Amino acid sequence: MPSAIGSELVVLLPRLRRFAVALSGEVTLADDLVQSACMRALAAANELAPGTRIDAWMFRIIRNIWIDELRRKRTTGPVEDVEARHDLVGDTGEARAMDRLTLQDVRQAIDRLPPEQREVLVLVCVEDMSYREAAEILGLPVGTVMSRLARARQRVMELTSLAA
Amino acid sequence: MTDIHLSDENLMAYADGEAEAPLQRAVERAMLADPRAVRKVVDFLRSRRLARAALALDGTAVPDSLRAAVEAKVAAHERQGGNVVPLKRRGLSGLWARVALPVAAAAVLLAAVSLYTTMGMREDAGSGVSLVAHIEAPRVQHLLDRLPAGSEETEDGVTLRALATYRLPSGRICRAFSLTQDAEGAEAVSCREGERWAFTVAGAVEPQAYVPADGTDVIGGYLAGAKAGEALSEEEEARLFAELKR
Repeated sequence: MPSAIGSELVVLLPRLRRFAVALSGEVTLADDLVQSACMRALAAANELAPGTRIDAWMFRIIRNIWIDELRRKRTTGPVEDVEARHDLVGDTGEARAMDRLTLQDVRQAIDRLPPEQREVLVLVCVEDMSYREAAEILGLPVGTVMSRLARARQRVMELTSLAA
Repeated sequence: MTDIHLSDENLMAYADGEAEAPLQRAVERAMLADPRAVRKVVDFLRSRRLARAALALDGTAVPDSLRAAVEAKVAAHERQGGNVVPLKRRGLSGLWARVALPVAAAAVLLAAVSLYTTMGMREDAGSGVSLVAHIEAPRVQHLLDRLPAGSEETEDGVTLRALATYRLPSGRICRAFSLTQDAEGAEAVSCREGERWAFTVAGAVEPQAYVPADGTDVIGGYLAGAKAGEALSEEEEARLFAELKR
């Protein structure tokens, strides 16, 4: 069914923002990312092939803008491996002893993931992208997507003390 | 017997429905042999579900300022004769669309989970495994014949709550329900076979927990793998019960 890209973008806003927040870790920055991505999408609308999955296309645009932003600021990319940072683990451990796990705890654990793990987690587990779709959006090999995804999920389980 | 060592990523691919048939078989064999493999697969199912739940969208997802800004740009674009392009919407993805365990796999996972719990490797008390024995009891059979989804009945301290009824593509009718007794719980699916409801799959749950335990993952995985689709409506259920009475 033919659909105006504009109305699709508005419908997608909550999911686009969720992904942008996961990428950047900052709400204001995320809003800027989404706005820029929408502008870019509208400008490129003529290039859209029929049958394009607009959500995947938008996630890719958002991420590309984010990478450009990182380069522009000459920030080094996200730390690849934060496994060695033991300080990240367990300061909610005491609170957990008596409390039930809440979704807030899970959200906090996700927030503490390195961005490159968080973005994969959101695309696959929250947006239901396949490994291949996530790899295309992120411009990464499927193997890299899988290893980051596994680490992200194991990390979340550790941080929420759910793993046995 | 050879020990199959599977990487965490293999187990994750299985849990995510991304494993090809040979890998599926290898993982299932590993799960039957090693409770740690079961634990890992269940943890992947769980982390997926938790991530989704924790990041679920609510009404506050988009600030008014962002929405207004985007709508303004869209309006400007459309005034300039913005195009209409046939776009593909994301397919229906309920919680389990991507995590559809093949039917056989769900059964294996269940068997492995039961093995795991009875081997006492779970730290939390109360696995609901004893409740599973109730599933084939005559009382449950009679209740499944008539209890509408959303209703429950208690007898001898055991509460059965009907959750939903499904019709599989084959025409087979399956009912999802829960059994709880004190702090123990189990969720199960039984499917109509001839004159009776045959136990198909079940898993332990913690009735009071905010975060549902593994049993829900196994049930969901089974229903998705069996392509159960949407639950039957009240009217469809009533018609089913009437047919069963005959």
